[in-house]
Amino acid sequence: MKPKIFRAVLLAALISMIFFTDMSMGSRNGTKIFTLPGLPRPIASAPIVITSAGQSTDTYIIRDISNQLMIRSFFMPQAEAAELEDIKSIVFVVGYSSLGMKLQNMSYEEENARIGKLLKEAEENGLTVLTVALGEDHSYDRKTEELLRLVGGSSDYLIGLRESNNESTLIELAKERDIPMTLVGGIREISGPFASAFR
Amino acid sequence: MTTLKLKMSETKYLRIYVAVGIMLICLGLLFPFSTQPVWFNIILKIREAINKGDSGHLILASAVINSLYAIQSTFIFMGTMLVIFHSEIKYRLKHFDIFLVSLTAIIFLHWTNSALFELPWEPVSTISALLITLFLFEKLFGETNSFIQVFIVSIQVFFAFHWLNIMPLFSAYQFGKSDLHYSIKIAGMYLDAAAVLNFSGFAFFLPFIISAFITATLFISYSRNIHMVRENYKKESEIRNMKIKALENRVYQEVKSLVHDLKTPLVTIRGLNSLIVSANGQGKLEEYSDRIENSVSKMSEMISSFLYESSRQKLKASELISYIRAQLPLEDEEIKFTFSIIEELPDIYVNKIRIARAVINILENAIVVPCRNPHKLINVVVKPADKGINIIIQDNGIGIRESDLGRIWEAGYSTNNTSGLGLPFAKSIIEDNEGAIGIESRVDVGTKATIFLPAFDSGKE
Amino acid sequence: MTKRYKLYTVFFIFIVIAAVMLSSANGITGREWNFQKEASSYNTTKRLVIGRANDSVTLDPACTNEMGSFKVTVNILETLVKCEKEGDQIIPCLSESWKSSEDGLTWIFKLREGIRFHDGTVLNADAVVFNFHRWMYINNEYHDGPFYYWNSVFGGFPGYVSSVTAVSEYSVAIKLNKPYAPFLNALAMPAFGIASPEAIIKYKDDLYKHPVGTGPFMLKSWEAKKSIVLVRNDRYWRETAKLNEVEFRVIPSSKDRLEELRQGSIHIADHLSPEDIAGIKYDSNLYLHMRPSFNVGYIAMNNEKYPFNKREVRVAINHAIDKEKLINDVFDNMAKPANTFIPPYLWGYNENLEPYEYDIEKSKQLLKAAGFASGLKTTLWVMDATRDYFPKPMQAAQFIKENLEKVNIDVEIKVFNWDDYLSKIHSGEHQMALIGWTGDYADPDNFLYTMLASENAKPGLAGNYSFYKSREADQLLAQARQTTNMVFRRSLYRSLQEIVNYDAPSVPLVHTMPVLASRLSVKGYTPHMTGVESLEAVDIDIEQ
Repeated sequence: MKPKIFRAVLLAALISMIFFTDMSMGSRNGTKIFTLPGLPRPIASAPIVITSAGQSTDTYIIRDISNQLMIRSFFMPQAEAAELEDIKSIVFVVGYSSLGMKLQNMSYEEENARIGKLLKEAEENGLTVLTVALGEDHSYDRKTEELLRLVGGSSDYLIGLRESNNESTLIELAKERDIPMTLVGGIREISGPFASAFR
Repeated sequence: MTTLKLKMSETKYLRIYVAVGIMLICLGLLFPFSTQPVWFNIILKIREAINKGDSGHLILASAVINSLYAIQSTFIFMGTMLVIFHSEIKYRLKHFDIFLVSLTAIIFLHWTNSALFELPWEPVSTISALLITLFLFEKLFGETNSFIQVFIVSIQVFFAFHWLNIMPLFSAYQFGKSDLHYSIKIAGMYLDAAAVLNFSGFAFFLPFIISAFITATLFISYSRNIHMVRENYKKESEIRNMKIKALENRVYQEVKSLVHDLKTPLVTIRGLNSLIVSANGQGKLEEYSDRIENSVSKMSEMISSFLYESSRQKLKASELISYIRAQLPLEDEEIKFTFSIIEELPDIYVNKIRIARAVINILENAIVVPCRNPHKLINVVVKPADKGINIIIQDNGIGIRESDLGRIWEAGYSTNNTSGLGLPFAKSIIEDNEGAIGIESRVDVGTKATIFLPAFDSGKE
Repeated sequence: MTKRYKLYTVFFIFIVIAAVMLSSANGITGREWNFQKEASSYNTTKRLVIGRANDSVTLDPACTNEMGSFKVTVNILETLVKCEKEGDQIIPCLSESWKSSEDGLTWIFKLREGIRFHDGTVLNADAVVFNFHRWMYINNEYHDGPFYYWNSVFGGFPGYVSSVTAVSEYSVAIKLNKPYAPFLNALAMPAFGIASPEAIIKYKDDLYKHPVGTGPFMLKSWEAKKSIVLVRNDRYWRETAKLNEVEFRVIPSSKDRLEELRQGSIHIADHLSPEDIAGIKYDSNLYLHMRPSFNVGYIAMNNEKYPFNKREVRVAINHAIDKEKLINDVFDNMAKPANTFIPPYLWGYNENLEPYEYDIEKSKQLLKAAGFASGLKTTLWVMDATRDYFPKPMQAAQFIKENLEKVNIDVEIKVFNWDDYLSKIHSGEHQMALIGWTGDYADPDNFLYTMLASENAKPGLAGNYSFYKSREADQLLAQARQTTNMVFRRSLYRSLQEIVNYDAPSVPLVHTMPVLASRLSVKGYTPHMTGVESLEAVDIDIEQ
């Protein structure tokens, strides 16, 4: 009898661990969401600062897109509030990478503080804030979502990927604060809406 | 006492293994820390890929990250298996439970590692790889004890499965959801290189998985071959032994016929001797010729005894014992012989030469048996028994194990590399002479052989 | 016994992992559910009604370039290749594969076998060649009508195409005499839909009323200026359409259209205006769609007519239009000011152009320098129908008139209905006309060549409504469409835009994002940026 109980307990532990680590099954609600294919009028102008919220490598993709569109940009993944002089808009690329943070020797709190200051500076000086969210999110690591909420809440335009974990958060933010939002099917389609914000 | 010594050295071995296992686990857990610059390099490669629009860098980055993850998983896996297999646990649980325990332990270790050090892990691919590795491990470890072989197989499996994580094809199935893998995929899709990533993933996964299976199969068949070779070798030595015995038998046959031929000249001597007696008739010549006759008689008797197993004589017990004693090596100081012969022994009716050879065989065993004491004591007691006598030979050697006692009478069975023919030979002679032999033994105490010889029944003859 | 137990448990673990994985691969399960629902609602007739502002001009796509016609014909006639729904990859349609020679001059298309036209005839290489010959040879007996797209794409009859032949029963070879970079993109346009040769022969001049193709829908009826009804082609070579019927209903007033949509008598309302957005967004029964901004609306000034042959006049008018206010007042702030003739995020866009700022003084100075200090009189033509780039054309015209009054230009507004409008401006009868262009594919050639090449300034066939003829521009356009090197093409188009900006043949006004709405019961409807999408994937959810 004993070995059987033992086995059952082990199995239960095993399966619960598998589920626990795999909890990234986001809820796909079927509520109506209004997404634009792009902005009808430009809301931002150059020069812009492209910075990262979470230090993932997605920022480099946005920089590449912006270069291809020939938008005058300054690429500063760890931009500080003081560096925002003469800047008209700021683009946050949200994606938390623990390894990226380690590489830049930053802690999560430092990143949070930095972003907070940037947002404050943007608000005071009337800078346009764009948020691009490409990344995934871990079940045990809700940092991307937190950063997204932090930044997205004060944005003027949200761009995200459909069928990513950030989809529901973006939809929520767009609805709550009535922020225009574009969801695209693939990463290559981001350049359209991105450009529409500038011209 | 020596058995205790043996046990301790075994446990020391076990402890070393367990320690190595734990060390490997720690190595695996701390692996990301020690190789941090390499991890950073991956990020730099991804950045370079995006900047240059070159997806080749992504493949490089994938190769690096998959190797790192594979090495880490392999360390944790090997460590856990070492610990489990060389600790008490192995003996307490059945086969299948070990499987469950190892699975749970390894998953748990991975999970805590990622939770503690903030380095994400890939649950789906790691667990799948783990299941396959455990499967292969059981097959492999059943045949061979070599951990290096297990290491080679398991690192291939882990490496192969991690390549599935960079394939955009499998994103929907929860592969490659962690930080770096996802970054690689996104960068790949941006550079329009999804097909490249998919193809590379397959190109690494399939060969390595197949190779892991083949390597495991090769190792298994290699070890089976070795086993077969060993068994063949054993069989061959047995055959050799049989041949030697056959040869010995042959030799014996030859000797017998030679001895038989000895008789013929004896007959001549006898004949001529009697002629001499009848021809001369007086004094010394008669005495000498008598003596020749005696010698011839003795010799003839000896030869007859040897040739004809069934020829028996009436004999005094003491005479047999003295005959035997005369043939023992009494110079050896380490061996102490004591003979106690009860008075009033009946006469026995046996084939003297052969019985003497039998008893001497037994005594030789007693002389040769290893002994834990500084001096070997061999007691020979002869006392009357029901319708005969008992010769009891007691030694203080290491004795015979109970499990072996049943086999000592088998021809060819030996516990100390002798021909194994002595005891069976002795037994068959004694039983031919209507006697009996029994052997008792206690390990490390000594062996006692009891030989019963029948008394002379005046009804016979 | 233990072995089996072990196997079961391992199997069970595998199933758990697989279930976790597959549950997030949602798309697959979603589609399966839809299938079941569809099977159950098979018996009810599904009729999708699309309300729009104007009727199609013709249903012979080869002889028109207006979107209203293509919206319908794209469901009836299909092309050799087509563009994938999301993205810009070219995927097989009627031809299943193609090869081009190394110099890009010979293209071999291998057709799919087993496709039949709606009238039962077989689609084979001969049918395709028949269609091509009809388009490309002026003296072909069925070459009757203005083949705008052929002219625009291939520069004449036959233009760049030297021959089209049937190599085998299902293989067509098209030979060009100059390489053409966006060749496949061009062939994917609805204008090159393949029609049944039998029908072409049978209907002759009435072909425009009897389109017979291979598409998912067939023409059932066309009540002129009222509605066009399509019925499902049950023998469609792909999966048959989900809808039984589609009706394109003409409802000229956008208010009425929106009202009917609200009431549920129509399912999709096209050509809405930005001011309707607020109402739709918060209506729980309606779903708002916006097409990506892929058009340009402009004032076409006929460069061949006095006084627009003078550059100063043109530049003066450019300076006189207050685009910001225009967008504010007429476009409800839902459009972008246009600096040039291609939309701003299309590759090749020159972001360094110096736009002509709204400056009345400068405008007056220029007019004075040109000798029009006392002003001038001219006409501005307007279409009576809503277009994607001018949702409120009359108001736009009015605004422009008021703007030009300030610089002493007296504008007389003339309104025409859409059919007449088109044929007139194609012939170059206008002085100033409001017009626009929605792109067919993501290549600057489609915009710039059409609107600025002198090849396209032939009376009767013009797409170049400015009748702008510049040798430099032509050279650049010709070169850019012949090379496939992206970097080179980009730089060529940049230079071209500089030249055009300097010459200012017309006044680019706006890039709009067309607004549509549908009821929530409509599923699978994705408006495409070209303004034209086929409806075989659209379904109506009966329950809602």
